[in-house]
Amino acid sequence: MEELVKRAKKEDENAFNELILTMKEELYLIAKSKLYSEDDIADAMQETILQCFKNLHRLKDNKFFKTWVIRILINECNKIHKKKRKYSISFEDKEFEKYIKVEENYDETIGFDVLIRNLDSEEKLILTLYYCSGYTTKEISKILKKNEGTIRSKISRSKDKLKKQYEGD
Amino acid sequence: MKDIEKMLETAGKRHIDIPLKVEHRIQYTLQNKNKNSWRYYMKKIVTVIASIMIVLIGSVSVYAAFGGTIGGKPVLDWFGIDFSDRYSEYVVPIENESITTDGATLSLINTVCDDGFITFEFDLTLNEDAKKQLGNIADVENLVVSFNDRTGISNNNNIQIDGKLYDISSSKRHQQVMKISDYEYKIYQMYFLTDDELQGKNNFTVTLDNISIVNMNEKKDFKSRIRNYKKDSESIDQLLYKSGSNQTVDEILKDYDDNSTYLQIKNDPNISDEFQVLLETAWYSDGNSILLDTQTGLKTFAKNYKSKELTIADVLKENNIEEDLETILAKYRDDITIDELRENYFSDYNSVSKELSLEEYAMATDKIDKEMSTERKAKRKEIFTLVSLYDGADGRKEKDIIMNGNFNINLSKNTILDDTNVIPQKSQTVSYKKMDINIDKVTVTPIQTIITLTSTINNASSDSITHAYDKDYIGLLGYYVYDEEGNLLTNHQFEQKRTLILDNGKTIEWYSSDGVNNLTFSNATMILKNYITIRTDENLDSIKVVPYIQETSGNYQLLDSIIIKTK
Repeated sequence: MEELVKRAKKEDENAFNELILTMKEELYLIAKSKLYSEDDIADAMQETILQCFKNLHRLKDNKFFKTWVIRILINECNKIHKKKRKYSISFEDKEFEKYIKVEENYDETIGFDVLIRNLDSEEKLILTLYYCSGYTTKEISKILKKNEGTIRSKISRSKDKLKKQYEGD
Repeated sequence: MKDIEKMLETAGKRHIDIPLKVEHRIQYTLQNKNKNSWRYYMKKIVTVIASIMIVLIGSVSVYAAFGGTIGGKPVLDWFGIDFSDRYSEYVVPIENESITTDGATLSLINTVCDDGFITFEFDLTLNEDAKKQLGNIADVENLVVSFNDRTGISNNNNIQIDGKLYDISSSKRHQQVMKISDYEYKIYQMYFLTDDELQGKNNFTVTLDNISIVNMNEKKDFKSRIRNYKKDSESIDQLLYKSGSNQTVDEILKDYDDNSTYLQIKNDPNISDEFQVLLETAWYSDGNSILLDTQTGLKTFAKNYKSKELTIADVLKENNIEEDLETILAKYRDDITIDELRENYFSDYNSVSKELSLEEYAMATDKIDKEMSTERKAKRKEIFTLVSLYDGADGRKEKDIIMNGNFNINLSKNTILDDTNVIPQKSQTVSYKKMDINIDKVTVTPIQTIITLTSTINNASSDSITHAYDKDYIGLLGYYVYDEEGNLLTNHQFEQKRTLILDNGKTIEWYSSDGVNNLTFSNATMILKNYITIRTDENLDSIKVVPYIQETSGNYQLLDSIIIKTK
């Protein structure tokens, strides 16, 4: 990845694209943990890509590229989330809830985002970084700027919640 | 009971299906990222201004009369698509529609109403007072005119048609700002409106209200915020950190200007790797501030500079208010950890983190307030003032120019419809798995060609829509458009809405795909309505549209082509 970052810094657009495409699934899951609407997720990812492209030359240490992108994405998600608080829940969402039962049953092919969908935003984000991105609790504490102990307790609490949710399956 | 650890590990390693809408936006952004860069716009602006100087010999007023064209050639573009040469023939001049507030005058000069596109051309003039109010707008990309704002955070998400407000997605609106001189700007506000907004009407009224002139840079410009605050209170010095050098805010800010403070910190061998990460992310993600916005950040910084008797203070950033609150409270309650704070003062912190209501906020702060010393109360008040300055809309609003007045513009498609043709097409269906793609309508207006497509997915289930492991899953759907000689044509494509017809007959429409990933259904029919727009070229008799599917492997699968007559 560092080699790609190096090339991207030299205005190799293909290298930049490759970097983003390599991370896109991870970025999507992180955004999804913070935001509900796909429009918002798309907005956050778009703005993150543009910010990264615009400011890449200012990244001093190439090895921190991934962390840097994730932090930017989280900031963008926070901004959108803050704006959206002013809106009430959309008509469409309520209509869906009326007609379609949310599936609680677990099957082996269930997606990670679906598995954790009933957790709160922060718990989803931490689990995503831990299980999908493969970060350690220490690394997550750096990314989210929270105590490592807090991260560990969040993971533990989240798993307890999931156990209760899927109990009896 | 399930082994939750194993479930998470397994699911975490599984391939993720990114929804079409998001995938499409990623691809679009990667393909067009240069157009969003500062350099791109500066080059463009320089080119435009140079053209104006050459063609019109510096006469701005003559330029305005041409309605977005120079020498008959359009200078506007819509997501990379130039309008046709005939754009200027359909410009409708508007007279005596001006609003002046606080030295800013916004005048609607003309409109164009196509069978889809609507363009409003404004002249914006700013006198010295207005420019002072807005702050630094040397980079014209930071200047935005916000219309129909209903959020308190200026944006252009809405349009009001015959009194009804519609949310317009970012793929259907575009604002182009051009600097004509230090005091004059051109604003082109463009929308793409479908029948969902216009309800089939050819004559309608668009209202542009809640108008404000905004310097988006101010949103991020902490230096200006700090400078402004300093004018009122010297105490801001105490809120900034500096490593025992007794520097004032002004001195620190001066350092910021040439990055020397940043470099000084960066080159300090005592700085740990983990702090480098914090510094890197904080610095770059917010553009222009060295800032530490969380307890961890503050602690890390304190640790590194402990030997230098660092005085820590907050440089708060625009972020969730509860995060700011955490920082503030943690800092001024040295004896309490952030976790204890959550436990003791926010009994249900998780719900607070989702939605901090005013009531909850008041209750929590009141409880803390009672336990605080007078000195701490004073300090807290001071910092909350700072927070409110930084905090999004309220802070930035002080710098915005809120215009007193509205525009009510009667628009009619009738003129352009006289020269618009709906071209009959022979029935063609392209199929992929359980999806059939059909051309609904092809409309050729003098300035654009609009292709409406319907994709119908039969026997759709939530799995087949969202999960790649399903055999009926369809990847990213997009379209290539070619001219008769096989040249790829620039086009803009977007999804207008989705309709889901459930097996019990219930029909649900939505204009974004909110919620679909969290829902379960089967035996449904999903209908996607897509638009493709290209520049109208009168020399073309037909075009070729080739639908493609981007599979999860990243490969593109081309589907059968559709020949579309344009005459």
